[in-house]
Amino acid sequence: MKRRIFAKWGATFLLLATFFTGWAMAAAPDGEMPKNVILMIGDGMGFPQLTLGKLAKGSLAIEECQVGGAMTTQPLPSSGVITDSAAAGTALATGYKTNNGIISQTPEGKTLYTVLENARDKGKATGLVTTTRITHATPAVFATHIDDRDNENAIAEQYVDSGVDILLGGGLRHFIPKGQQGSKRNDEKDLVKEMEAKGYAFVKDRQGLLDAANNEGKILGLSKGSHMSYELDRDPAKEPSIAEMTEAAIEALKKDPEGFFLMVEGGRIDHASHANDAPTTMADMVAFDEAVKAALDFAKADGNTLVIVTADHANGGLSIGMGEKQWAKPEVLFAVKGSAEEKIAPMLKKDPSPEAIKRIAAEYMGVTDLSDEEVAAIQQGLTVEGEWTATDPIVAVINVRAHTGWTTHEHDGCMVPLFAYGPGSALFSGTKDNTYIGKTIFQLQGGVAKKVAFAVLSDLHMALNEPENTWKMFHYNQDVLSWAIDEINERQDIDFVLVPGDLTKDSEPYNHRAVKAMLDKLNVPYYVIPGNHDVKKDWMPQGNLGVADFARYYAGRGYDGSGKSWYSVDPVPGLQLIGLDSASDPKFSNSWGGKVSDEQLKWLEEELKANKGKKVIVMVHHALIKHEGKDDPRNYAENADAVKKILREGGVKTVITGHLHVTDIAEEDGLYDISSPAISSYPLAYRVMELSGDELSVNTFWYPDSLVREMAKTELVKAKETKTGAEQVGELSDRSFAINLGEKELTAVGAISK
Amino acid sequence: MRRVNVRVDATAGVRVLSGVHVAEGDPVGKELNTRETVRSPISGIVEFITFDSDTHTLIVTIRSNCHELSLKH
Repeated sequence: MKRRIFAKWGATFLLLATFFTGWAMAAAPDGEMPKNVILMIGDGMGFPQLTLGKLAKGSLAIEECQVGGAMTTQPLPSSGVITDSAAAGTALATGYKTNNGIISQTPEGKTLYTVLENARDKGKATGLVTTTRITHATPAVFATHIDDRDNENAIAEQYVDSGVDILLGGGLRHFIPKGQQGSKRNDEKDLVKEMEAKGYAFVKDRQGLLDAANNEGKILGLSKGSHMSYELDRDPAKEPSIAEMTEAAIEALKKDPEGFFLMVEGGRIDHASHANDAPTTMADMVAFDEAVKAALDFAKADGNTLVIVTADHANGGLSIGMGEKQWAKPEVLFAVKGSAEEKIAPMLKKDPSPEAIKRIAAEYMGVTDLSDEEVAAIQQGLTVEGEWTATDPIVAVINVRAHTGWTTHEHDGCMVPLFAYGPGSALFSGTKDNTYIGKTIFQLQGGVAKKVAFAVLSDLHMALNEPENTWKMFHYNQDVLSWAIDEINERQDIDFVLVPGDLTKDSEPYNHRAVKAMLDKLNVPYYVIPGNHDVKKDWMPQGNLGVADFARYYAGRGYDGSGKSWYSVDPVPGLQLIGLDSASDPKFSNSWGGKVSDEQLKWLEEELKANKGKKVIVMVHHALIKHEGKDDPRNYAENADAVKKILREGGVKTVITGHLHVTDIAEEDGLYDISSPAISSYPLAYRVMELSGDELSVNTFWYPDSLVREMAKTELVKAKETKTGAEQVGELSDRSFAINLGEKELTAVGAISK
Repeated sequence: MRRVNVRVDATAGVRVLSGVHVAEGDPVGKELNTRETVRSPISGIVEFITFDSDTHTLIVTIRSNCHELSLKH
């Protein structure tokens, strides 16, 4: 059964319900979809930090997780190989990598949707718990978006309207107005008052939090101006532990019948590791494990909660034990009663005498055999100018006795632990990249609630210095493309752009360079595939791009840079884009025809199996389904039937095509071939498609200069004085139409001439 | 003896370790916001590297070795 629908120029299509069958997200392998998700992040918690915790406790709560593995943490290559918490957290929260320092945005500034926002938009309760400032990078990536992690005042402002139900940590200084004691704001904004006006209960201490958790409503709990205390320094009567904050958050969030998403960060494991302070690292590691225990206790009782435990990155290059028989000495670490940075060093600074140093070492570090050299080194550190004190000589006293060593004061690039418990946990076994965590949480949340929008710019046919127009408006296509790019950039809702081939007149390098320079002005990612005009044909000059050149030149625009001319990427969470190459088959090296290679078909079959249950859009240049009036076989992939068979079996419903320069949608047995209007010929148009749930709308936008558009129409009619040509310019397409949205088969209402 | 403190981002990119010698102009690390390379203003020995959790930076303390150089002369 074949049907086709001509689009009314500038009209909107709505293709509903079964358009993308199987667009509900894949379930966990065991069919379990958790109602609640608790993501626990030990900041800087590499395997050695985990080992320190085990050294302290014997057995960690984390070990009760059913699934264990490891995770890689690198940021985008432009930031090198060592991630910061902003880039790593963004990967965990959104499923996408970014540069260091950026909070849930792409480097180009595009907002990245987070798993917390998805939970919120699906009606679930949400919470963030941390031992750092709540404005610090790791909590911030889940609910705010900014290009500078250090702009914590702006991050605090974004929390006000974030809708996050529970916010617990430090960072009060970014919420109170300038002039108020401890404020770091440079304006009069009182964000605490603003949030109270929005229904938040504001609490500043442990008891306040415990009381508030038993009540209904949102909670803003900020126990300290800056970070919360290291666990070793914490006053348990005043400051809640991370375990207590976790319990309080769960208590508050579990009241939501729709479920909840909660992120808990043990943030100061990282800080203590930066300082190479082993006992403080150990204490915060143990405190984090106690929070994990609280989460697991709830998950075990609830039975419908997934707990994921991981880290954003490792830190310090920590080694434990020295030599064959010198295992670490936890008793040395246990004897320390304060952090080097915030407790012991400030005490020593007040009285740097040898007597005081020895007394404090004995009383607070458990060290009674301090050597004269060690005393002298500590004294040297105390003489450094400034309010702070060099802690290296202090931590060295402990490290040498405890047999703990550090190779750096920075983050390191080692893989980090990954554990999971509860429904869906099986998905987290083995070695994963950090982006996998965000993507999989989206999957386990049942897909993305957010509307996804993408534009289609097709058949651009860049032709610099071309002496004459044909029906392709070579003299105007740069203007048309600029207009389309400007419009797309002005919109705030476009997530990505598709370019289904024929970017150039005839694959000339200078035309590729020119069109790429223009496409690079898009504020959002774009994805290309080759058209028959983008790869060198036999009669073209030697220097023109072949298909591998094309794939390398557009590396990062779908392609991996290897020269392979087809790909599968996920431009937004839960949506898979498959780009096929129908333009380079050797059989058509002297023709505009096309074919999808057998190698691609095998790959496509496997790729669709791997993405079973996900929403999949396929982009290919040549059409796959017959479009009315387009009878030339070169319009279609020669093996279209084989491609369509694989697509249908793989659950694909939508194919975006170019090549024909017609604004048309054709349907065949449940598969839709959405043919794109051209930038380079009448009607000089681009499309925007919006996906909301299972509903896809297709909008076409014309170039607004009616004079140029009429010229293009005249050129097209002149070039194609046939019925087909007449149809192409819009006589048929101007018919009114409607689509029955509720049935499996599209039904066109209104006459469609045959 | 002259000492200088150089503040660099704590994420990554510190080029020195405690105890190593640096020459004036040698890279020490990355500046927190601009990510530009921070260079040692003096020649000397890296005496301490101290973490400041408030700003997530490392303070690299470099002690001038002018004294040692003068002794050689």
